[in-house]
Amino acid sequence: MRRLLNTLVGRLVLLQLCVYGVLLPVLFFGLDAVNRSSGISSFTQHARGYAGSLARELELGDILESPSRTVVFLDGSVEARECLYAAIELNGRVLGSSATETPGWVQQRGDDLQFGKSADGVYAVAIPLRRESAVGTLYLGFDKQPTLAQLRLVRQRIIEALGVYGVASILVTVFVARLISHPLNQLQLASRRVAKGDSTAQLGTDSTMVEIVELSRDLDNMRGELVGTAERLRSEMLQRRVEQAERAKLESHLRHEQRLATVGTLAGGVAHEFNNILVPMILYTEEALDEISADHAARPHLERVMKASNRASQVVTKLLAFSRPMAERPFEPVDLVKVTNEALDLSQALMPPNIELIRNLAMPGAKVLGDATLLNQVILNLCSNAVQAMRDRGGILTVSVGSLHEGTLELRVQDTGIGMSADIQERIFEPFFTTREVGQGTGLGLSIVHGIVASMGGAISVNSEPGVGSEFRVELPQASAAHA
Amino acid sequence: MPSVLVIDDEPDVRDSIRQVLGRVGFDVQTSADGIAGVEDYLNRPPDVVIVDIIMPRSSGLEVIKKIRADFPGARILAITGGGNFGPLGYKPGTLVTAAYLASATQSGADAVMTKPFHRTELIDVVRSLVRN
Repeated sequence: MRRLLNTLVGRLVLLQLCVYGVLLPVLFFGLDAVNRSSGISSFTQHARGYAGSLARELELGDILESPSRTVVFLDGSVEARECLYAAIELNGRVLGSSATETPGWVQQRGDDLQFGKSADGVYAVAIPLRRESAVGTLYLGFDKQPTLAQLRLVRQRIIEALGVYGVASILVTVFVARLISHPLNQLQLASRRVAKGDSTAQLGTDSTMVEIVELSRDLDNMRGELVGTAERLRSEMLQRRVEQAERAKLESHLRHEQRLATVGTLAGGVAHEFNNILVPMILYTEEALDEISADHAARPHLERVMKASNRASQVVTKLLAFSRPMAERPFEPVDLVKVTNEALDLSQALMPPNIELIRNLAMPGAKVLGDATLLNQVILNLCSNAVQAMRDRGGILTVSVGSLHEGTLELRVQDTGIGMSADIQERIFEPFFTTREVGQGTGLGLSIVHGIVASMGGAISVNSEPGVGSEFRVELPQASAAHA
Repeated sequence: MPSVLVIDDEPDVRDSIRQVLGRVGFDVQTSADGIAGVEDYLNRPPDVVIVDIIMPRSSGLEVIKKIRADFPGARILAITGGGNFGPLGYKPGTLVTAAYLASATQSGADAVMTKPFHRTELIDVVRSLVRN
């Protein structure tokens, strides 16, 4: 009920009921008063006019001379249904109509000055008569019932009309209120659909009311803005997710490459040691076999040693097969600046925002003899170390490519990180040497870099000062025109 | 008697090469690292120098470059355990891939061999260098 009263329809109907509570009674009483007064006055005027015309007729004629003619005259007015009774009092004698019984009280009753005075339904009129010396009074009684009935009927009609008016106007109010609230309901339903995620729901109505149309247009504009913002946010989130996935892919790719390089380096390191051990074993055994006679008792033993050495050599070869993904790719001329740019693009994607990268890449198109993937790994590794050195307080990473002197290119990776002491600088290219905590690094990165650079006929050196930063210089022989 | 200088940081490698080449008639001297090796070469230039590529202090490639710079006619055989050059490919007892050869010969080596090698392979390579 309370909810109903709070709706637009409820409010308007309630307002109207309040107004009608006052207005309709006022209207009713006003109309009824007018009706009554006009009905009564026409009745009384008619009665008095009629009585007056009878009186003048009697005064001017000689009817009163004869009592029998007077009675006939009175009968005429009663029979014409003009009045209920008619009587004349002349010189103390009362003559009444023979058509009705003349009431005994007509003289006491006298003249009704007001319509509503008598309760018996009779309006009594007494008109004085004057004829020569005679003085008398004409008494007429008029029936009030038809007039009263007429007044009641009109009052009935007024009540009916006001009732119809009240009900009709409330219906009109309900209709108009619905006309306003219907488009509002449409807007409400549409906005709920939008809120539930149906971004295509149009905030419109079929109303032609200017205010409603403008409101719905404004709301729809707002919806457009909101939907646009939501779309933008959604696409930004999607893009971020894609970027994160790409980043994860890059990192995984990098880790994979590093694992391969680690296995390769391990295998290579072990192979190097074993090959150095195998040289004296093989050479001394072959010397011994060459020196002793064909039937010497030690010959079979030495041949067994030789066989075992050959097997060891094969095992080393198999061990090296671990690094085959990188191995057995012939070196070819590689554009140093292009490879550096590619590696830096990759490296920059993984760089924290507090580190600024400066590329200082001269000598575009200059080539070195090597492998682009390995060179890429050298640059990535040096940049990764530089970033590690600057991670906490940020800094500037400068990567330069230039010509050191005729036939030699130089790649420099310079950071403004924590730097290294002389002791550490001396050992950084050793395998398994690391300053990082256990689990943070294998200590193989720079030894791999060293190995790759050496394999390309280059050299790597470091220059560092604690608290100032480090600079790695990689010298690489420039590929001659014959290689290109 | 043709002379040979062996520059290698591994004593057993140096000694075994000296043993093999000495017994077939070469005059063999040895040096334990690159810097000493270059000095020994300058003091008494041999017919053939055998240089290990991976050594402390001064790398074999630098040694080769220095010798080639001062003695354009030097005959240089580069040897290596090879393993550290994982990316380069590895075939025991043979000259390594053309790419490696290009890198080593660019520094000035006439031939390159990976360790381990057989006695006869060593003798054949050194003899052919002496002949040329």
